[in-house]
Parts: sequence; C-alpha cells; structure tokens
Amino acid sequence: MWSSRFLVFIAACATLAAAEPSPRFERDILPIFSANCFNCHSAGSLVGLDLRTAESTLRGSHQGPVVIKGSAEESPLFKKVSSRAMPPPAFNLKLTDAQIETIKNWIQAGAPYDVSTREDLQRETARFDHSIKPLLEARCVSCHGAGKPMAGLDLRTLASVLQGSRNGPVVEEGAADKSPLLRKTLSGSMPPKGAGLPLTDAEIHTLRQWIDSARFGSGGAAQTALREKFSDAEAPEIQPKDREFWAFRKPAAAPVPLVNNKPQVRNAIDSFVLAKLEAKGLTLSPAAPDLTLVRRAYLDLTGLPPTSEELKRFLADAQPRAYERLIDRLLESKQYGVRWARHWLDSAGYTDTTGQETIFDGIWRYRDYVVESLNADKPYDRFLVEQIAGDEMVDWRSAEKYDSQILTSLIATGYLRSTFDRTDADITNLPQERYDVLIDLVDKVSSGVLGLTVGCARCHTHKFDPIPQRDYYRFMTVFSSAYNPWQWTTPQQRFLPAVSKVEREKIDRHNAELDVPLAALKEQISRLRAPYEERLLDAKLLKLPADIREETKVALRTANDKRDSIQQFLAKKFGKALEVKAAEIDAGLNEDDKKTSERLQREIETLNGFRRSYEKIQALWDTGPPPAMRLLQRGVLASPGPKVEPGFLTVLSAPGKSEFVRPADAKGQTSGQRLAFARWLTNRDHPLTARVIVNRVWQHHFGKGIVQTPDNFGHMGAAPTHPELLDWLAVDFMEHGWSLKRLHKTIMTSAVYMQTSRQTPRGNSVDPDNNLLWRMNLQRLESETIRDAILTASGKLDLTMGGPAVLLKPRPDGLQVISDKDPAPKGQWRRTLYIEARRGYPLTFLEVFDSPLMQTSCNRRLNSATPLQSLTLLNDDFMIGQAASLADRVMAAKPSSSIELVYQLALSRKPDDLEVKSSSRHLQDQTQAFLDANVPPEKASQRALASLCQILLSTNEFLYRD
Amino acid sequence: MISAPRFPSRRELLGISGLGFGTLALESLLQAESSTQVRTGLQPRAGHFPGKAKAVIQMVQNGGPSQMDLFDPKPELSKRAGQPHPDGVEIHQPNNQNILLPSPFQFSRHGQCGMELSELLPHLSTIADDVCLIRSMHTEHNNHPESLHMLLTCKIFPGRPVIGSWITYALGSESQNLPAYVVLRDPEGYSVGARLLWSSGWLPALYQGVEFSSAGTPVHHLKPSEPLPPTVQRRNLDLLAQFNKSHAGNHPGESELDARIENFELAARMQLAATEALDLSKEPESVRRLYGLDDPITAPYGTRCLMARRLVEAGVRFVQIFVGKGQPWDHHANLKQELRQICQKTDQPSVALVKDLKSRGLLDSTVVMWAGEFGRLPTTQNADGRDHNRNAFSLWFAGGGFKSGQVHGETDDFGYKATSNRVSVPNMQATLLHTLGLDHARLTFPHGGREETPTEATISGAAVVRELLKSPGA
Repeated sequence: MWSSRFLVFIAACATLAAAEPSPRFERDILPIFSANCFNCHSAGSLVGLDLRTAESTLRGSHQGPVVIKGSAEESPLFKKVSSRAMPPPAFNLKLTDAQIETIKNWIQAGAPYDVSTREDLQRETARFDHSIKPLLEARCVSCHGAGKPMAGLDLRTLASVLQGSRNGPVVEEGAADKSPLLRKTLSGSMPPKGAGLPLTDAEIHTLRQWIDSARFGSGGAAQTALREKFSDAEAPEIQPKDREFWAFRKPAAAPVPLVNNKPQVRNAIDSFVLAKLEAKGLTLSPAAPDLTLVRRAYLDLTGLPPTSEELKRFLADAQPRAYERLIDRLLESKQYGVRWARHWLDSAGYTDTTGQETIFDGIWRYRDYVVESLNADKPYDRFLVEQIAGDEMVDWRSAEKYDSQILTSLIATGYLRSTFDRTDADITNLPQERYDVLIDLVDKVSSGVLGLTVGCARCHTHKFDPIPQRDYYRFMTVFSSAYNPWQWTTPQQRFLPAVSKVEREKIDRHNAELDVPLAALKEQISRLRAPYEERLLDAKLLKLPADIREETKVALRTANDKRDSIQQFLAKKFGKALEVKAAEIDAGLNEDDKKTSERLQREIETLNGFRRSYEKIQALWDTGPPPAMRLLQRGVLASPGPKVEPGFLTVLSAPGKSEFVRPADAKGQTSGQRLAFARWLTNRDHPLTARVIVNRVWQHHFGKGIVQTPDNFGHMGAAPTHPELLDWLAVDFMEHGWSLKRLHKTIMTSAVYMQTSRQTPRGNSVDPDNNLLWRMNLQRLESETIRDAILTASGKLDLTMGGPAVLLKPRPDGLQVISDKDPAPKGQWRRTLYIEARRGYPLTFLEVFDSPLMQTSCNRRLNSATPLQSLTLLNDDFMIGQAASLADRVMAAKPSSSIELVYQLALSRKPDDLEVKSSSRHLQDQTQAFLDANVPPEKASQRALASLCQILLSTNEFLYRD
Repeated sequence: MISAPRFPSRRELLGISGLGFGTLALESLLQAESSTQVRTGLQPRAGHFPGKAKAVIQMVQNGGPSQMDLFDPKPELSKRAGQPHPDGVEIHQPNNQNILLPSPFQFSRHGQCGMELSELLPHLSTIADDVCLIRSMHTEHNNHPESLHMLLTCKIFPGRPVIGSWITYALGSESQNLPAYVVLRDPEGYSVGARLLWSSGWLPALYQGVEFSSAGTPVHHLKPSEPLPPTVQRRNLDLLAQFNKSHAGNHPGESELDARIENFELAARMQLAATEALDLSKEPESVRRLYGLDDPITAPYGTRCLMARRLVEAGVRFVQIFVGKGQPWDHHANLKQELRQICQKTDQPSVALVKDLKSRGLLDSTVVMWAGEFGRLPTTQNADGRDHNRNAFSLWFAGGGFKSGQVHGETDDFGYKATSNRVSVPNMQATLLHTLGLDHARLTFPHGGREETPTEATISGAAVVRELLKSPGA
C-alpha cells in the first residue's frame, strides 16, 4: 500500500520539478482565489480588495498593496494566508500547504500574469454604448460633458461615468437606489429646472435596470486610483464667522446682574435667574416646605428617600445653616456616588455585558471606578482624561508592579469599552461591524462630552454646524490605534490581567511549580482507580452484543479527535450509557484504597490552595501603530476617500491648533492620540466641555437643562434659556478645580432650587413652560430610584457597595427578573445600580419605567406614563412582595397607629385627618373582604395593611419628586 | 425638504411624557387641547394624507424562508443541478458547498394572474389574486438578529423603534381599552431577537408592542399572580384614585398627573377588554375550522391568527404574530422535510386570516404582511440544506391598498440575487407607511439632537414603490 502512495509522491515531485519555476496568476492562482476568497474579495469588496484579476490584486486594498513583488514575507496577502488568518477559520475553507506554497512562489517570482482578461469591461462598455449613452447624451451631456463639466461629472463614456463627480462615485454597481445618478433623477433635482424636462418613467426604468444588473468587474470603481485630495465639500475651510456662534466661543463669566428683589438672592444663580424673571414681571416662588425640601435633596443626591431617623435629625437641627449641613452630609454619603454614577453610566452607555450580551468578569470594575471617582470628587477634567486615555497616562506595559494609579487608569478606559461591539462572533466580525464600533464611540463621546451631534458629518459635511466631513474622520481616527478596524481585536480579547507582566510571570511560574507535584498526585489517584474503572466498564459492556464489545471499548479509550468514523459512531451511540461515573468508582473502592484516595485528594486540595490567580480588567489600549484611515465617501466603507490624520474639531480649536501632536507625557508604547484628544477636551479654553457637564448636572436637578438639548449645543439644538448663567457656572466650575460636589452645593443652596413646585396663574400665563424657572419642576423618579425608594420603604434595601453585578434571568413568560441561581438571590435587594445592566433586556420593572435601551448612550431619559406602568404597580410580584414586607415591618413595630407609620415610612410624612379616615375604612373593608374569602383573621388584616402599603407606593406623591 | 429647526415646547415635552408627540401627533394634540378628555397618547390621529389602510397585521416568519422552494421558481437550478455556482456565492458559515441545489418541490400557476407558487403552499395558491408577491427583496446582513432588526427598524443594530411603534406613535389607536400595538408570540418561547423585535427604541414606551399570550394569562401583569377577592382590587383602585386626585389638586396644571390617574382606569378596562378580545369561544365552528383550530398541527399558529383578526376588529392598530420559538424557517439541513412541516403549520392559518378579513369587508383597510428576514442560497449546505442569503428574498402583502394578483421584481437565474425592480427594506417600509397615509420622510421624532425618521431616507435612499400600490397616485 505505501508503495503506491510513494509512487504518487514521486510523480508529484516530478511534476513539480518539471513545472515552470514561477506560477502564473491565471493558471495557478486564480483557481485558488476563486474557490476560497471570492465570497468577500471580489466586486464590491468592503475592504476594496478585488482578487478576480491580477491587476486588481496588485492594486491592493484600501489599506494599500497586498502583494510586494518578489517578497512573500513582506506581502500582507501571504502573511494572512500563511498564518491562516485568511480565509477566516469559521468558513472551513482551509488552504492546503501546497496552495500556500504556490502563492508564495508566485509572489517571489514577481507576481507574473497573462494579459488581463477584460471581458467584463468590454461587455459593459458595449451595453453602455448601446442603451445608456444615447439617453445620457440626450438629457445630461449638455452640462455634464466636454470642457468643464458641472460638478466634475462627465457622462460621455462608461469610464468617465465610473470616474464619478468631484463628490465621489455616482453609480454603485448593482444598487440603483443608492446611486446618486438615479437618485438625483428620481427626486427631480436633475435635470435642474429650466435645463430640460424630468426623465420619463421609461428612461428611469432603463437607468435603474442598467445599474442594478451592472457588473463592471475590474473596470469599476476600484480601478479609479484612490484620491488623496479633499474636495471642497469634504473639507470646507472654517470661517471666522463660524467661530462666532455662542457655543463655539469659550465661556466667559459675565458680571452678576443687579436685581430688585435682593432678599430673595442666596447666591449668584439667583441673581441671574431673578434678573430674567423680573424683566417679565415675575419673581421666584417661596421656598418649599422643609419636608419637601429634604425629600428633594435626598432623592436628588442619593437617589433614596430620607429615612425617618434622618428626617428627625434634620428637623431637630435648630442651628442656622441646617440645610447647608444636610447638603454636606448627603454629598459625603457613599450613596451619592451610587446615584450620580447612574447618570454618568447612562452617558457612557455602560452595560455589564459585552458583545452578544456576554458577561465577563472585570467589566463591573469600571462601574465601581465611576462610583468611587464621584465619591472622591475627582476633578472632572481628570475624570475625563482617565476615561479617554488612562492607558496612555501610565507606563503599564513595563511597570514592575501595578500601583493603584495604574490600575485606576486602566480600569477607567472601560468608558471607551462600553460600546456595542458585535464582533465576538465570526459572522459579525466584518469590516462594517468594526467600523460600527468606531461610529458609536464617536457618537457617544461627541454627544456626551462635547454636546454635539456630529453623526451627520459621517456621510457629508454637516449641514447646520461647521463640522466638515474631514473633521468627523479625524475625530474617528483618534481612536483607531486602539480600535483598529484593520487589525481588529475582538471584545473577548480586550481584557488585561490586573497585574503587571512581571507579576503575572511570577504567578505563572509559581503555579507551574505546583503543577509538578499535582500531576504526580493525580497520576497516583488515577492509577489507583483504573482497575475499578475497568471492571465497571467491562460490566456495563456486557449489555452490548458480544462481537462489538471490544471494538466499543477501544473506541471509548481513543481520544475524540483520533477516532475513525466507526469509532465515532460507537462512542456517540453507547458512550453515555457506558460512562463510568466517579461516584460509582468511589462506592466500589476497598477500605485501603478508599483511605489512600481520600488522602491524595486532600493533598491535591491543599496544594491547590497555594495556587495564585489574577483578575481581569476590561480595558482599551493601543494594539499597535495607528493604521492608515480614510474618509469614507457618503459614509460607505466601499468608497474610501483621501487619507485622514487624527485631529480635533477645527471650529472648537484655536485657528491652526487642531492637529494632533503627541503629548510629552504620553507614557510607553502608545500613539498618544487619545491623550492629546483628552487634553484638548479639558483645556480651560475649550468652548464646550465645562458647559456641557454643568448643563447636565443642572438638568438632573431641574428636570431640564439650561440648554434643553443636552447632546446638541449646535445650531439645531435649543438655545440656552440663561446663557450668562451657563457661562458663569462653567467658569466657576473650572476655576474651582472642576469639582462636581461644589457645583451641586452651589446649585442646591440657591433660592431657585429651593423653590416650591406649585404653579401660579400668573407664572403660567407668562411662562407656561417654566423656562425662566419661576418655580421648581415636578419630576417623576427614574426607574432605578423608584425601585430603590420602594426597597427603602419596605426596609429591605441592601446598601452593599461594589463588585460583580447581581445577575438576571429571563422567565418563560418573558419577564426579565433577578436570577434564582446563587449568588444572585443574596443580592436581590441591592441598589439597582448593581443589578445586571444589559443592552437589550434590562430588568423588566426598570424597562417599564423608561430605563433606556443602550443603543449607544443616553443623555436624557424619556419619562412616559403608560397603562403598563399602572398594571405593574398593581400586579407585579415585586410590588406585591415589597408591600407585604412594608406591612410586616409596620406590624412588627407595634405602633400606636399603623396608618401613621405606613405614611411615615412610605411618604416621609404624617397623614392628614381625611387620609387617616379613608385609610382606616379601607383597612376595615379590605380585612372583611379577605375574611369573606376565607383568609384566616390574622392574615386578613396583614393583607389589608399590605394593600394600603401598595396603594401608597403607587401614588403620584411617591413616584414624583416635588 | 428640511423643516425649520425647532425645539419641543413644553406641550411637546408633555408629549414625551406619554401624551403623543411629534410634528404629526402634535397637531391633533393641539386640536384636542380644548376638550376636557384626558389624553393618553393613544387617541386616534389622522395621517399626513388619507390612507387606504387603518391597521396592520405583520406575520413574522423568522429564520429565512427559502424563496426558490416557495415563491420564486428556478428551472435553471434543476438544469444545472450539482454544478458549481459560476460566480460563487457569499457565505459566512461552515459546511457550505458551492453546488447548485434544485428545489425538490413542484411549482404551478394559480389564480387569474397565473402566479407561480410551490406545492408547499396549497392554501396561498387559492388566494393568489389577493396577494402582492415581491420576489426582489434584499437586505443588508446574513445573520438572523441583524436582519430581523433590519426588517423591522431599517437598521441592522438594535435600539431603534420598530415599524409597529412608528405606526402607533403616528396614528394612535382606534381602541382606548387595548394597547395600540399587540404582539402574539408562540407561548413556547421567543424568536431570535425576542423582545427587541417589538421595542419602541427611543420612542416613548407607550408605543412598544405589548405581549398578549395566546395561552394562559393574556397580558403581563393583567392580574396578580395570586388572585385577589373581587372587591379588593376595585377598592384599591378607588382609594388610589382618591389619593392621587387630592395630590393633583395641590398641583393644578400638571396634566401628566391626570394622565397617570387615567392610566389606572385604562389598566382596569384593559383587564376586561383583553380577556374579551382574546376569547375565541364565541367564534363559530366554521371560522375555527377555517383557521385550522380543529387540527393540532395548525391550531397553535391558527389561534394567534384568529386572535389577530379579533384584535384588529376591536380597534388595535398593529398586530405582530410570530410563528414559533427560535428560528422556524432556518433550514440549514434537511430542507425537504422541515420546510414541508413548517408550511403545514402555517399556510392554512395565514391564508385563513386573509380570507376571513376579506369576507368581513376588513381586508381593504387592513394590511396583512408575511415576511421573513432574508432568503436562502441556491447552493447546498450540509448536502440537503441552504444557508442564509441577504441578496434576495420573497415576501407578500395582502389588502390595505396593495395591488393584488401581481408579482413584483425578479431574481437572477438561480434566485441568488434580486436583479430587476429591487426592493430594499426601507423602500418596503416606506410603501407600507404610505398605505396608512404616512409619509416616511415627514414622520419624525427628535432624538439625539436629530429629527429621526423610520427609514432615514437621506442615507437609505428609501422611496415609496408605487408599482406595489393599487392606486399609485400622489
């Protein structure tokens, strides 16, 4: 047998020897490509690599050449196939070693090819000349023809049509609907009025048919050499007048205005607001009652209602400035960080999952970083820099040991990682999905930190704001050395050990040393158990027909990947039934062996106890040098434009200062691109960074911002209602060390904040939207606060801080509830921040009350009132359970009036007479109803009380912050 | 045309709070302003222009129904069976062979229009003249979740509102006792994509699909899990209303508080109305048989189809039906047998719904849509199956102003790629909205600093496909 194989081998060698030394493209390479590569790399390849002809192959991809003639080692194409990165493993299209060798030889030989076949182009040219050319000549060529064609578009030949206009291609192969040529005629904008009648339906039909079925092959768009000059439309110059728009000038503090009603003024905020009110003949409303004010302050700063002890403490404080001291206490509370982390995490688009909703340990560290940073009142500028470029601020790559600064800086980059990234599966790890991550990231950072909506500039220069398309891609390029679409790292790979390389090696060595004795112990155990296992297996085998017993046994003893097809069949068919379980062996051991086995097991456990491990951090870091990035015409990956360098939005930079320069303090092997960007963001002259955060803090205190579109300060956004106040706050904020806690205190000790929310006829007639702030706004609690407030009332709230999230599970009926698997139930009453945050399926209770689906991020929540909320309040198990707990809590306290205590615990106040009367009648009636339904007497009064509790927890008074 | 930049006023912000919103919704809101009736955001509203249709029943056939075995006969596949596809096809999964696989099923012509349909669809064949079949659909992704999001939101990623949410946001509901948008899924489980397939995204949660179960309790939270004595709930509601009214009295002018009070009453009414609408026992035997409720194979899906008709009759604007859990039309292997099985479960009930609506005179005002998220390849996978194909798929509409008895569009000789009269998903959605009197480009909602639209026509190029309409008009 071997001899015939040997002969084939000899023959193959002979063929090789006789063959031409250099393979040729058409004969040797094309068959390999067509069988393995054309799925992605032919016409319309997203990365611009068309392997159908030698010419197009040599032209390379959007990234540059893939074949370096004469040097396979340097050729990206060879590197990809020889490392087996291509074809992607998931496709099960394995190249043979011989095929890889052929590709190598071809490149080494200088990539020779025959004269290119250009059938496609010839065929298309004939077709164009026959049916399309006459139409275009009749209708379009008078403007788009000889000389200086309009928009640089010459429609006289197929080649010139494919060349496109100054703004890019006008025909997209196979996609008439996306082709500007057809769209312009369809919308009637071409031919322009006066230059001819609109195209007839028949003409449009002809054009559509042609584009939809066209196959230009190598003659198509890819043949046009990539353009390196920006068109005027892509990179218009920013004019001085563009910089004059209020949001693009740096904030300047205007003098605090003088007002008539001086006694109302508690601080500068009041003067700014009063000045505007007085101009309209209004004034501030009186301060809210103490109880209202305390509940307001508690809910705003900690997201929890005050407990009765806390309330008593405040009411008992008769000293002046008791309210200020309350604010100080609340700002010192750890619950402040938990509450405000939620706001920031909304803007960061944080979830506990990555990729297709997979949980990885270590993601939660970023959430805890935010809580701790806020509690420590970390200056906002530093907070931002760490999150955008923490990994570039410290030299973690060569650090001997990670100190807390290195750890913090790496964890902070979780901000950039909290982006929807679907590339964890092969089917979604494609160039478009990788770009989607960058697109979402730019959206998130621009809307959340810059307060600008730059997304429009992905496809075309922004129509309303001075944001050229080029600026959009410079912005995106800042992140491309970390999220490199051409050298992609999947989400499951984007984790760093929480210890330095040196330490990790030490730990690995330590563990390896333990492995030696461990292996010996395991070997001893298995030797001891082997005869028992064999006997048990033999006994089980007796169930099989005698003639296949031996063969089955051999099959089971053979490793899975070594089994031949018969063995595979046998293993699959009988493996389960013949499996010898550990418990069976245990039961069979004789006394001595049992003792020995137990001793060995104990020794293994002891040794394992010495094993060391390290935790993981979800982080972002530069994975290599920055790639060449290009502007994408119309935002389409397959239509790359000129190369772009990283940079900042021109209109927000001093003239000539928008280019990237590596910061001197960028540490280690990193581009410094993100650090430069973060420094640019946080420089004192930046027009937007401070205004945007000050506005969002204001928004959370008042229900709406001074700029009511928190993510759009541009021309399409809302104008500030109090521009001078916004600037004063921004400047004051920067001058006082970007301290958020100080900002809260300034806002919350103003008379504007302390006003009652009551409406007045006069206020309503002058300013029904309360834009001038003549009163406080009534605000519905956010979903998390509703849940936390209910838990506070029921006495169940668990204030444990930090750590992995409490996991959820889907119930068969579709509700998303807290998992019943350990350790989730232990944490089920923790603050909602610690309940698993998912992109798609959050806790149903939260979703019903408008917690956002994290597509990218959320800078302002919706607040809806739906019947489903009512049904949830009435019938949800959580509500019913918590109401029962509250009732138990009240009954256990044996109060003189349970009604009074229920009010105290649920609404932080005493009931009035009417409420007492209605409540007590309710208790009587409901008790009777339960008794009538054969509920035992003790249980009946408890359930009646629980029904009162549930009513109070469902009232608008409970659900709103007054 | 770009409308003037405008920021929502307080009234409109109230809209965000669940009182109806947007350029369109706002107008009717303002008209109703003088009335004392409390608005819930679901009151019926007029569209941009008079539309033929008032309601939509969307039958989601997820998994990717095979067009060349059901709707799009390809004799060339039989002629070249076993040969490789000349240009190769786009594949993303293992075990694909680039070998042409002919359909094992016979096609024949049906109806006056002579529509060619597969033997697997004997019931659909009887209503060929009522159906508008599109053979030239194409989409953007080869993976299920992405393509399902595309089909329903015009984007491959989750987070945007589905078409049902846009429609109910625009038009409200004809019923004030039922949700505007009802989802009837398989009680056995969710399809891939699950609840994101009826998510209102960043539209107010009022416009998300509400799951009605066709078995057990019809609506989440309709009743407490442990039943209460009859008077208890009523008394709870009364006392709650008393407290809330007294609270609202202290906050005159806060209409959001009133809406919340009204919502508790609506919730109570819904408890009755939903039970009533889903009670099939009142349907005559002939109707039950029409939907196949007498046959265990057709009964589960038939039940949902019949419920859909009852809900539309009761004034629900948008009903979304799912076939089964997972991906019932996803035949990577054993296509011959499994495709037949799923057709046996669904063909009769889907068609019964069209027939039933027609006999009641409701078909003209109701769009019935039958659609999967993508098609399948003309080549083999695992020897006897087909892999996903985003380049071509078929779907059909009936009723509501769609031109019936016609086949729109063509695919190439193998059914791999839509070639003529190609219809993109945004084009299809724009056309569906048109039948309801809605202009996809003028239906807007402010989000993230932009005026969002359902089809994002400036990027997607979406346009109404007039050829699909009975009266192509303006």
